[in-house]
Amino acid sequence: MEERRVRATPGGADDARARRLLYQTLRVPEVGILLALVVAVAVFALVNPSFVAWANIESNVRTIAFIGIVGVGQAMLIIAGEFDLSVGSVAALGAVVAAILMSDHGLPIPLAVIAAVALGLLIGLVNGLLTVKVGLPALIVTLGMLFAARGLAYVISGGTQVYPLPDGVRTLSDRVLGLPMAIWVFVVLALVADVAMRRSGFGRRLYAVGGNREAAQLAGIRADRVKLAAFMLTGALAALAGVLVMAQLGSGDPQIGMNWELAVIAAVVVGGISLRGGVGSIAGALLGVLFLQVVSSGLVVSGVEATLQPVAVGTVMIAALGIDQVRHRRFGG
Amino acid sequence: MTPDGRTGAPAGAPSAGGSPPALELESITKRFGGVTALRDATVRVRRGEVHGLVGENGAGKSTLLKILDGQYPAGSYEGVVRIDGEAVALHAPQDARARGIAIVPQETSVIETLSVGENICFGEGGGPFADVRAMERHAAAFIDQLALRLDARTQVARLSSSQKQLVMIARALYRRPRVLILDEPTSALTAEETARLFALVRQLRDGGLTCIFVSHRLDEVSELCDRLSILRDGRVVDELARADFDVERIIGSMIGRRLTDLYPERTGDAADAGPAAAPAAPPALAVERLSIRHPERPGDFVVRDVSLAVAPGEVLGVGGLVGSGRSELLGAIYGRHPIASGRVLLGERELRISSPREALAAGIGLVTEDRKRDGLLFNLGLRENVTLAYLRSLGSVVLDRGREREIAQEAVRRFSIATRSIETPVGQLSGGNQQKVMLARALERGPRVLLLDEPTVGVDVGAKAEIYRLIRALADAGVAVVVVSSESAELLGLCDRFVVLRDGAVVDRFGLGEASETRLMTAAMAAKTSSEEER
Repeated sequence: MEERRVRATPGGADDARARRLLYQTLRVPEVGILLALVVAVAVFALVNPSFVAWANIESNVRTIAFIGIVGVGQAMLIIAGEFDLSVGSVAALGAVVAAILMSDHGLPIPLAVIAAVALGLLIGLVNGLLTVKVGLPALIVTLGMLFAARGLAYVISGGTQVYPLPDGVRTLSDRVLGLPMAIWVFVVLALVADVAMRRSGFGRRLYAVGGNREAAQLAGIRADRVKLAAFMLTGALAALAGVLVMAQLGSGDPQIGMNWELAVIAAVVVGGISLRGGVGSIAGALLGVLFLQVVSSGLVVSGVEATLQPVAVGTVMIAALGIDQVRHRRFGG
Repeated sequence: MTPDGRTGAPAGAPSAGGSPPALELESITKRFGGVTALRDATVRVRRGEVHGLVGENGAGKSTLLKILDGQYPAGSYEGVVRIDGEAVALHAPQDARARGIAIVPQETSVIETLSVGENICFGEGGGPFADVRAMERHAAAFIDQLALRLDARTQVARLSSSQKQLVMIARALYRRPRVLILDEPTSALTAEETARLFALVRQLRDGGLTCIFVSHRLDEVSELCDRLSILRDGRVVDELARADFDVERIIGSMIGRRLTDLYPERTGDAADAGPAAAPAAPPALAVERLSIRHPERPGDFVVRDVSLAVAPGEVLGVGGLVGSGRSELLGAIYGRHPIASGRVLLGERELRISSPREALAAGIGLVTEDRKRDGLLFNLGLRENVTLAYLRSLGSVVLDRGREREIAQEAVRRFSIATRSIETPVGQLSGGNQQKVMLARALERGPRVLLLDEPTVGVDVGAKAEIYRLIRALADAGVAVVVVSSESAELLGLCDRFVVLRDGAVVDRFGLGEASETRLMTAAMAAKTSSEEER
């Protein structure tokens, strides 16, 4: 993935280098989920070759774009040692607010989008302050926000979809360079976030705070601020995902993002993000999102009854957690 | 309840008369990997006596207790455990319970959400459904019998830590044990509560209960115990009857002879070993009449009125037992705990900080006592752990990875950290190397003052010597170093001047010339020497 500065070894032993490369590849933590993904795709493709048709691939990727955007924030937050159950509701609230601002109040579309994202940021700030500064458990705070934000979305929208939206909204769902806008947003965000987590000071601080908050603080890291930032980012990305769904639906629906919170947490955990904090990567988390999508849509094209899908998702998640637990017990501190 | 026992039995030769010892640990050897925690240790406890176990940290006391409690199962060690002369195999704590051994651990282990009564009677009798009222009624009667000042209906979470300690003792006694083991029971108790506890233990002993009492405080041991086993480096080095209790002898046995070549030679002024209890040069760090509030007991203090000073190039040793306020003192200097009164001076300037972040910026480094709890990031590698306090200098947004690797590689060289690579997860390093990683981190920003809390805890002898050399080299380079340690030999070998804390206050201070392990331990343990004993 990255170019390593290899120390000049006199008389290049190609064989040894190849072996080292293989070893290093296998040590990359994302390799496990990647292999699982490849196997799943291969199996479903054998059962039903149309599974790997471009149309199906694109539809899958578009589906995960929204949850993937939320997953980026959620993964960072869980790495920092917290989590957010309100993301689905914040998405709905963001969508409804953006829709009303642009259709009822005639706000220019970019401003409406910015306002919605800012609202998400603010909700993240509230979640963060209550958790980090007041010291309430994130479970309670964000569960409360899950109800409160969803309720607000219904109140503001009058309980119905907000439409029609101005025509310009279509630019948010149009194809750019052959792919829907949402996919581009997702891909760019994912790349930036993955690099940020590996290379930036902020990323390092998230890992440090999630790994051992006390030790991080003693090393001069302002743990509260770091966590607060992660909460805010998660809120903002949730609202952004909600706006993109709104653009695709062509209406501000207060039901957007229903059940996202658990789907996202399940996916990133499958992708190797530890709920204990401090462990995992954005790449892994998003492979987890992709994997769960492949499993559920693969079951559909294989003719498995739709009602069985949640069973499969649940089984995969518990299995992944079990593997994580075993790994932790073997190698963990 | 056996009528025989201690009435005037002259202590001395083992097992006078017919009855076998109530409890006998014979030739116990216990190894952890390459480390031997107990070597051929034999302890005999007679029926109806209070038997003291003393020894420095790491002498093997807790290992012995865990064997008795079945936490280290039979078979994981060599030797035999006998109860009333009968060899028993204790495979789990339940086995120990069934045999009548009850242990009151040092750490509080109560169920906070339940009442005192439920905690005491928990798991005893009654069908599948807990009758809380009945439990509390039984417990109340039992508490009365023990003359403890507890209300059976109070929720445990609302008790002070000393009251929780009493709940644990009551819970152990409720099971009518034959042998009661108290591990440092008084560390959380006030003087009055301690006196009451001792009265209770004596009363139970006179009723036939056998008791093992583990304590750091020699005054308490001398007061309460009938006989005493002294451990050092995993061996039982002495066994004393009450008539032979002598504080100097006890301390002498605990200390023994030691390796001296572990410690680096002192250079410069310190080598002259002036009598000075005050530093020669103007201090780099001075603490003036510092007090810190107790986190749990309002109105009480963990550090009271402590003053000390360290000059550049000097190593100041802070002695005292665990819980004497040593760690809190370092924490307060480092901005971790708020200061109630007094001040800290860095050079000429008063240090006004409220966070470790500011302490680091002011040029102070801290290595904490517990690597797992607040020292290392076990989710990350050596490189990230070393540079953790230095992130801002590696770039405001993107970290300079080349520079970061150089720093880590330099640390590995300078501190001779044994590791496969700088990317190795710190959890895979040995204790000594983990400790060096923490030192490297604390030194990364070139502090003028370095605070070390138990710098060699859980570190093997070889690595210890290396760490001592590093500390001495730092002092020689002009850093002012403060070392907290439970090992008196370590303090003596490493430090130039000494301050001893007890119950949060300075009880003794002296220079290298007057220093001895006896003086350090006597001050730390409040042990009266035989000449000043009142009784």
